[in-house]
Amino acid sequence: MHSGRKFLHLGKTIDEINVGDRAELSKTISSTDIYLYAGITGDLNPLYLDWNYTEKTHFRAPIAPGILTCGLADAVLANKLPGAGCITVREKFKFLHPVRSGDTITTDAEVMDVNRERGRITVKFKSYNQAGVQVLEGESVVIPAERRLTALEAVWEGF
Amino acid sequence: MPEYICRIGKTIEDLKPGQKATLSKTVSEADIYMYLGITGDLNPLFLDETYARHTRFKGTIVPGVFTAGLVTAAIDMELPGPGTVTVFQDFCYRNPVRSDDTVTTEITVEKVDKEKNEVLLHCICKNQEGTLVLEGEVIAKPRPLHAKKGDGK
Repeated sequence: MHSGRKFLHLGKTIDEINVGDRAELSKTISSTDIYLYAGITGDLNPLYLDWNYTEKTHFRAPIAPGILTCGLADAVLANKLPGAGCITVREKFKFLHPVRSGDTITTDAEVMDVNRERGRITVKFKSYNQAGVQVLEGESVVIPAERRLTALEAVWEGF
Repeated sequence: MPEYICRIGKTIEDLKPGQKATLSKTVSEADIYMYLGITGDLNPLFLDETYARHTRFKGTIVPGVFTAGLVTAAIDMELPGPGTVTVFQDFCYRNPVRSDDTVTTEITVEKVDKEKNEVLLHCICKNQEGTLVLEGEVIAKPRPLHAKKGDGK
């Protein structure tokens, strides 16, 4: 089952994670991202797409869907901490400030709890825009990559 | 302009506990790749069939946040409808969603707080076989009373 050799580039396993581990990732949200996202999910809220409508609200201009910022937070999990192969079980997000197209969102993730018996970790997110304003606060329960593909399995798969 | 863009959502006055709405969508492979490109979430569990076959899922799955996006879509399009602002969400992913699954989201109004202009919504998602894939709660602010579609000019 287990191989010391890391054949696939997978993330950390639960034994390699400690409370207090941190990672961060930045991305600029473009208007293309927002339009593609709206088309993919079918979420045509005028709040994201319609200047005429948003002018009348306290936002004054279209905002990015909150869940898009959540997606960026999840990207930290898969790309950095715990890394590729992790499974998200539960997520909580609180939206604190609107995100606009052109904003650069930096998500800071920190491990708050490691439950080695159940093989789960709790990661806390804080996302900021380029002005340093916190836009999102969240928490995710994650199962880190379960095991690594052995060298033999990986070679066998190639045939 | 298509009819669905012109629609406006319910305000807090129109909402009562017990109201329900559903929205279905088939998740295509293209949806997943575009979504992953937008967020940069390159987890092999979503992309690498060889890897995913060796995990408990026995194949690639759809990102949980993507299913959560379908819930937000149901909230923004059906109940309370266009103009809704989501302030808080808490989702549990119960079972994996695969590409080509049809996900049906059911939204139920649980509580209506007129003072804060907030509603508590209970959301569940099921696949085409009726298996529960997502369960959660969302706090949303319905469209404000003064904002009407079309009077921006």
